[in-house]
Amino acid sequence: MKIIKLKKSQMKMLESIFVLIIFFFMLIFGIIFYTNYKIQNSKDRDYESSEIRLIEISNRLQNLPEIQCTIDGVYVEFDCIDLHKFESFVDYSKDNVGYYSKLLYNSFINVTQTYPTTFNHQIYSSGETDNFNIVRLPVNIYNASSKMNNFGYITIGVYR
Amino acid sequence: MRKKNKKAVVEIQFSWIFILIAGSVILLFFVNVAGKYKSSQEDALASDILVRLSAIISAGQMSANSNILLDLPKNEIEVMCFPETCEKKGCDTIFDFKKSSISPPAWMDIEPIFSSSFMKDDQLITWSLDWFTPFKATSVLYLSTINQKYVLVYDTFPMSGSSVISQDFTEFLKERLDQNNFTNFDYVEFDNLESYEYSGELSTRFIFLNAAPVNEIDLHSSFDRNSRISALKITDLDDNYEGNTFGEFKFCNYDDDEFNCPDDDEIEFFGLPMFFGGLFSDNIDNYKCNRIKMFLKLEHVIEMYSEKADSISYSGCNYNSIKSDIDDFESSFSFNLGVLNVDSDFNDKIIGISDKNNQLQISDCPLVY
Repeated sequence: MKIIKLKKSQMKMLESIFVLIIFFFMLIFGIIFYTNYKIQNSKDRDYESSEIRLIEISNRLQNLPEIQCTIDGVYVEFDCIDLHKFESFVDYSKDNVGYYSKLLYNSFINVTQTYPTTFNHQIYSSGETDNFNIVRLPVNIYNASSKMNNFGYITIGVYR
Repeated sequence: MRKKNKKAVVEIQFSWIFILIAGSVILLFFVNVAGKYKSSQEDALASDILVRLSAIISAGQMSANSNILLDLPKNEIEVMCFPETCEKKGCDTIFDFKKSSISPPAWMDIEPIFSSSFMKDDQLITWSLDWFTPFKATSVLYLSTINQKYVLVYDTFPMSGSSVISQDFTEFLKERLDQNNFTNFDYVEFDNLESYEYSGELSTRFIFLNAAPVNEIDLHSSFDRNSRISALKITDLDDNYEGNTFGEFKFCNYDDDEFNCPDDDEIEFFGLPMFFGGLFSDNIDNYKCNRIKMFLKLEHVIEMYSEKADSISYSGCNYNSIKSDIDDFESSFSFNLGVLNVDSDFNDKIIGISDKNNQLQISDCPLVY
């Protein structure tokens, strides 16, 4: 009789231990799953923030008096940059990178003229990583010396 | 006789004590985890909203005179700027959103944003204007909420010689302010001010365009003594108000049922956007700081136009004179350790550059701006 009692209690203890093992196993599994989900969620939000930043920079660039063009004293509403101003801005932004990096973050901005002549200038660059989001915006490039509008595009890349 | 099993009774009691202790520990652990999770989610949400707000505000600055109403439920913003921290890279600005202590976007150290130091409402109003000197130097942003009221107090028939503000300027001001569709502006004649009742706003800012001293004014008894009341008193105004409004005003506070306008808080403004900056800022340090930011931007833009004047080449056109004026203009202001110094001929230089640019147009030469 005594032996039977011993076996019954041992069985009960074993049962409790297995319950606890399964419980902790499920808990750990849940934590791992949740952590992976949060990491993926964080990456998605990081990408989304980067996209929003790209929009923000393109808005700021179009509104930057340092390169925005005027024709006959009137500020041009559509996308237009002043050739003389942005050529000066190339070196000026390098000398004042601490100031402009607060506006334009870690990004690079290239201006490419496609018509009538072609050229490519990097007017701003700050920071560098392998991952970046990029957008290209068509733009008029006003040349005050010839009083003519040339055609090109701005490339904005935001580093992630 | 039956023997009672005392060992079993004691064992049960210990078992229950163990269950209670273990249960409490587990419960406390999960409550702690839930609390930390809630806090981190709130910070994440605030950060997310700040990123989107930053993008929306930058879009709002794109077009001059844009006026946007943003829905931000349970919005609570504290804005502070410290003029003594201003240097070439900008001024330290705190934009505390929902007391999250998340760092504001870096552009806020550079972009002039005039607002009350504390805003609390479900909606945020943005308004932007361009500052021309005479070329566009920067866009200026104004933030307010619907529960902030701005009361312009004016003389009905200002006597010539006794008032710095003409009736024409008051009308001009009303016209410009009416372009902001959302902000709560009110216009009161000075003679009716003491009967002007409080209507429950979070803060009320009086802008005194009248001639009479303000320390003798008694506000209506309905004004909640705990509500935020501040004032701005215009003390000097240039006659050329159409676009290039210059002058001085004093920042006043309301203590012990009286307006006090210390002489130390008298400060200049250059241009209508800066004047509106004083209107929206209830704190002189915020105003000084954003004023410096405007001049920092002007400094950069002047440099670009100076280079442009140097590089334009057009047959029969000479740009030496206007370049000289632009370079001279750059030296007409400076700042050091948060103190801005502007020469008295600042406005004259603006007019000079504008005249030279117009002469270029008459000569059919490409314009500098």
